[in-house]
Amino acid sequence: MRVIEYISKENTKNWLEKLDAKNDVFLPVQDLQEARIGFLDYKEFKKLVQQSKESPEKRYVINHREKTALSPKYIFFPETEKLFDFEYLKDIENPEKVELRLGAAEKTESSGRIILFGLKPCDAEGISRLDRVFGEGDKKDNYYMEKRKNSLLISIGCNTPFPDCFCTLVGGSPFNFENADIGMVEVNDGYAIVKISDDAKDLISENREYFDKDIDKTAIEEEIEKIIKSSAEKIGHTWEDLPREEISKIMDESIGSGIWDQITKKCISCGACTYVCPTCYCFNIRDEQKGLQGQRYRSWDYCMNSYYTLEASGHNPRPDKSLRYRNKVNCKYNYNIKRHGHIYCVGCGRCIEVCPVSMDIREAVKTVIDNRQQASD
Amino acid sequence: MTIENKLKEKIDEIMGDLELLVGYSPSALPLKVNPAFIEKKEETGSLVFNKMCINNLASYIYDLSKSVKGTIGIVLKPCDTRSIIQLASEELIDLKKIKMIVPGCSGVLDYKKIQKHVGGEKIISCKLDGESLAIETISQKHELKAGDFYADKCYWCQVHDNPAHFDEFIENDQKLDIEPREKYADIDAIEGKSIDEIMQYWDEQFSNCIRCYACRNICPLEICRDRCITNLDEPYWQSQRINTEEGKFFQLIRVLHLAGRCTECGECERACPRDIPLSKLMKKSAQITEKLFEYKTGEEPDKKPPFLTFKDVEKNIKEENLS
Amino acid sequence: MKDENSYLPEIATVKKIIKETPAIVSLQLVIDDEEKRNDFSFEPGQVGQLSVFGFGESTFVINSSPSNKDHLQFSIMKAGVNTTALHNLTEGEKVGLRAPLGNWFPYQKMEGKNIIFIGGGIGLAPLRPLIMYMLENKDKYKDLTLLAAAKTPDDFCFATDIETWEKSKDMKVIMTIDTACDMWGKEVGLCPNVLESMKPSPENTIAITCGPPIMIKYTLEVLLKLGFAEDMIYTTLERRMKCGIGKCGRCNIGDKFVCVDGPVFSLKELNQIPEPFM
Repeated sequence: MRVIEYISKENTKNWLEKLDAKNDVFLPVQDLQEARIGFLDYKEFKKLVQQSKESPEKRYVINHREKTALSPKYIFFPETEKLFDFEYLKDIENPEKVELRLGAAEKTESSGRIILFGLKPCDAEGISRLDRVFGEGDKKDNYYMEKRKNSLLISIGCNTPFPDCFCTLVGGSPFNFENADIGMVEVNDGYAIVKISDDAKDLISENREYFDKDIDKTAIEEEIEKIIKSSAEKIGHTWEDLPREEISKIMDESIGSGIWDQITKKCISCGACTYVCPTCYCFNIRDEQKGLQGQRYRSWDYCMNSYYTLEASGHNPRPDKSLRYRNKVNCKYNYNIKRHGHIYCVGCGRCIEVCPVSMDIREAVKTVIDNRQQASD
Repeated sequence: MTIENKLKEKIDEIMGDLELLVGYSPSALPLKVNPAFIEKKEETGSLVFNKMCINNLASYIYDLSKSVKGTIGIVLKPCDTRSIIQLASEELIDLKKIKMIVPGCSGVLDYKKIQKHVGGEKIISCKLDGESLAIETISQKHELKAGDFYADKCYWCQVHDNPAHFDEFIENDQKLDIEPREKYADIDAIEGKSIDEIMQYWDEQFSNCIRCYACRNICPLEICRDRCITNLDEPYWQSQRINTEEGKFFQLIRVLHLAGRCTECGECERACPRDIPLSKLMKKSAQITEKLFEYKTGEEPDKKPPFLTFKDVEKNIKEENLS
Repeated sequence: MKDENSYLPEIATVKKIIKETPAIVSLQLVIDDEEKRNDFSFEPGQVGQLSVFGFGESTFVINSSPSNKDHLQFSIMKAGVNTTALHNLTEGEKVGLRAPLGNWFPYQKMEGKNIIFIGGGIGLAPLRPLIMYMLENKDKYKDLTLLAAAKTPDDFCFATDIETWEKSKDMKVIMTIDTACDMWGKEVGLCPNVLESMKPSPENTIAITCGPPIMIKYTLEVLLKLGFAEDMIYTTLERRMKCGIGKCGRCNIGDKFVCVDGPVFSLKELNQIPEPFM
């Protein structure tokens, strides 16, 4: 891994402060009192630090080593988003005539960019998965793309992955900066910058004062190699490495087998796994009206819910939870490989952590793979 | 013999009479266990019973009772038997079809409490040795006293070694040995604040709600599960927007729906992926209904819950002068 | 257009309402914006998302002839919130329209072949634009046959059209109702059974069937029994839809989205999808 720049921890804080002046910086913040870790707007973070009664370092800290509870997808794909307003206009002179006016969502004219700092490589991968869904095809999702096109992702590699991380099994790695604009590695009480995309060049070039001059690149690169090696040893391998197309084929063959009933026995069909997942993108669209005015909005939805595919006629193609869970796992490990060429799971392990009954997608995929080996023996 | 082995012995004895057994099996994740569904005697070896068994397996009993024709055996902590009795008192399940296998309980650890203690950081390993709990996060190692991290309900538990209802009771040599605490202490602490402070507290908590419905789906009493009106388009009862107001609205519906029915197992709070302190709302509701209707949930299968019965004149509700 | 908002509907006015059957109403719409109206074109089989603002949005096939520049016709069966609101509209009212969406019947591939249409109830709606196109271009196709099924004589959708087609020499029309009743001199029997008794030859023939899921299931079985090849059988599928543009993830059957890769599918395509499509 080639080192391009180096910045100390102290200077990183100053650099972020400067970036936030003209942009919207988001970073992972740990609230030690409420025990919550999530992405927060930098301005919000500063306000909280000012307002917190005890010494601020005791409550709010920037922590990119831990996983945030929710993935950062909500910054580009909010939980609830207005699509447009509508208004029925009545003519007092002519009561039979009713006009309809639609108001498209206003484009926010901000010159600043959205900068996500401290993303884990798996989360950056997650955002790139959403980019494909919302940005491909001849019909794009403008609401997502508007926010995303003026954004930059600054990713920090994972020196210490967690036991439920499995990014290497799904085509990623703790130091994969392919989809980040700036890639950083935490080394020697600072960060080495190992990737700078064209879009992000000015973040460094216009802020040179924060970056170390005269760095011993070779020494840092050696340290990084050690870090990468020790990190790789910590990631578990639940199933043997298989090429994506193979996994897709095995999933195809599993549909119709009773293995899904067995896997889904303890699932309670809630939406916890879907909502924390960086690559889940299903949403619902609803109209709400009061008097003559109303709004059409979209909100997150989860495919595990039994009403998900319920048609107005009463017919439901997926009435059982095993069919819905089968669809969810196949959507990630099969259908999206066919549609977009990638596994729509980044191995972050949030679903495993958050599930009230410890459903484990790694176990599910392993069971399907093992079942196929058995069937063919 | 450990309680786990005694339990397995008992289950092996009666497995022949059961069509299905619901119990606990180990999980690879620290401080967690898995619900296990066992149909054959050969599979009982994987069952466990230990201080990680915080899950209330009664969550599954209603749906299983609809799909399983024969007898269902279910491993329940003494506190969890209340959920079964409450379901029976509402005539939602047939007690004759269920075998409650109740091991004496020496308390269970609440992994969320431990996680809160370490600032929300991820627990990557844990070792429980008697009373000492060794926890590791990626940044630190912690040596904790297990006695501080039991589930809230353990601290005011009266039934840990003498459940009122069971089909099989297995004596546990290890007894619950923690400092008892006042059941409603945390409720009273909130009550002492001003209305504005209370509203601010709950607004802050509910700003985290993402309407995942984990709380509703894991509740043993909320058998409505996915047939719930709040995530339907027709009839349109609740907005699908995900925000503080809608989260609060949903939760208040839940509390009212469970008034006089909730058996205070704490699963809703445990299931919440956003760590909202839901059991406080449930305990407050229980505090009110116990006083008002002199009814404690899950005590007797023949005692009908207050909101399922009608009385012309309520004993403890002083109505206005009706002339 | 680059800045086009795919979620923002066009406003259209209800020009005419036709009561087809007690449960089905046809709406003839005209797009308000003149430029969009003139530029609008679609292929037979494509769908549109119709909404009554404040109620919701649902998918309906555009069942007027593609050559008809006067209006766009949609037929709505009353089932849920949005369809009930559409049924309650009067002429002159406004609706939202997002169209055309989805894929269409590969009518060019069907040239030079015999076509048999099998439609049950509202299933005639997706067939109508294709039938009209083929009748307008009769020289490109061989024998056209239509088997129209309904529960009772009053439940035939597009009754006037069926009558016109019957009278014309260009298409053979067979109508059947589920159970016998007075004043009905035509076929009686469930659609798949009548189809089987008709024994249509699969030789150089394409079968297109649309209708309720249960009817499609049995009709497909009969077609295969009669010797039709998988790639000579087409159908249209329905799933609950929201965005209609392949973004919200709801309408998938396996790796196919009904709103983008459908609603028209050949049986060969469907059999390649591991998830059952019924």
